[in-house]
Amino acid sequence: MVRRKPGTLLPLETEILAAALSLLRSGQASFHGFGLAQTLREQSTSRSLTAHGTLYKALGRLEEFGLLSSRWEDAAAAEGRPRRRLYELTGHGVRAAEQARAGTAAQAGPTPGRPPRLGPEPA
Amino acid sequence: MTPEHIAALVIRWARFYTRGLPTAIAGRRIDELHADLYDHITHERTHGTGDRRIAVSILSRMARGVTDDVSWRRRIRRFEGASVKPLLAILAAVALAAFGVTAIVFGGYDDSPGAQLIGVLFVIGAVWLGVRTVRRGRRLPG
Repeated sequence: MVRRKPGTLLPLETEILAAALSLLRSGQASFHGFGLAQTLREQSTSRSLTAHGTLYKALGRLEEFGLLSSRWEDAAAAEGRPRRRLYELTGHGVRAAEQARAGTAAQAGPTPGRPPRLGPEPA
Repeated sequence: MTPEHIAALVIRWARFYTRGLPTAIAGRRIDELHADLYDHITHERTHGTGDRRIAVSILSRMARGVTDDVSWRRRIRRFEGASVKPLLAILAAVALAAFGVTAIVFGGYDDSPGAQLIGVLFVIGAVWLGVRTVRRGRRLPG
């Protein structure tokens, strides 16, 4: 298990934020667990989907940090299948995702990037 | 083993590691897994993946997440426990203080310095317990 440095995000959490930001920019504001697992697989070199426990624990943490918000899908929209929990980036989440993206870009360059810090909401 | 059998196994495992947790938290995790498993099976079948391969994929996702499931449960239990313990500690502090004050007052009437000393010790203990509980409660969970 990866140990968390206080005030920072774990690599998977950063990946989730980056994936959520790309989805948001492609016009998909909300996403659900399995959809996210697929997006993460497509964006990485891995052939397997993120484990259930790992994925939902990370989503829960991001929600606790105020970077994501979630709600249950409307029963009518579910059309008979189990209702999905829909997640969305919050304003704070968008900023953290942009910061994470900038950090990743910097990591590819000559100076290593730093993981985004979870600062309080600016007043 | 069909994907549905493995999906049922995932839900059984989820029921096991969410046992004793608040209903809302446990229910949310289980419902979210139901939706995930349904989407997973439907998506793979739509893309022509064989049932055996889907079952292995679901089993792999469950197995790889076991340590995170357990650590998630531990963290939830710690928070839930943490919400009850301060209340019990404050109640204990109030009871100690009440007992201490009673001992001081009645010790005065009976001219019993021993009882008064015990009362003072109880009051000091109550103050210490109250301060400790409040200071711990102010710390943010990690």
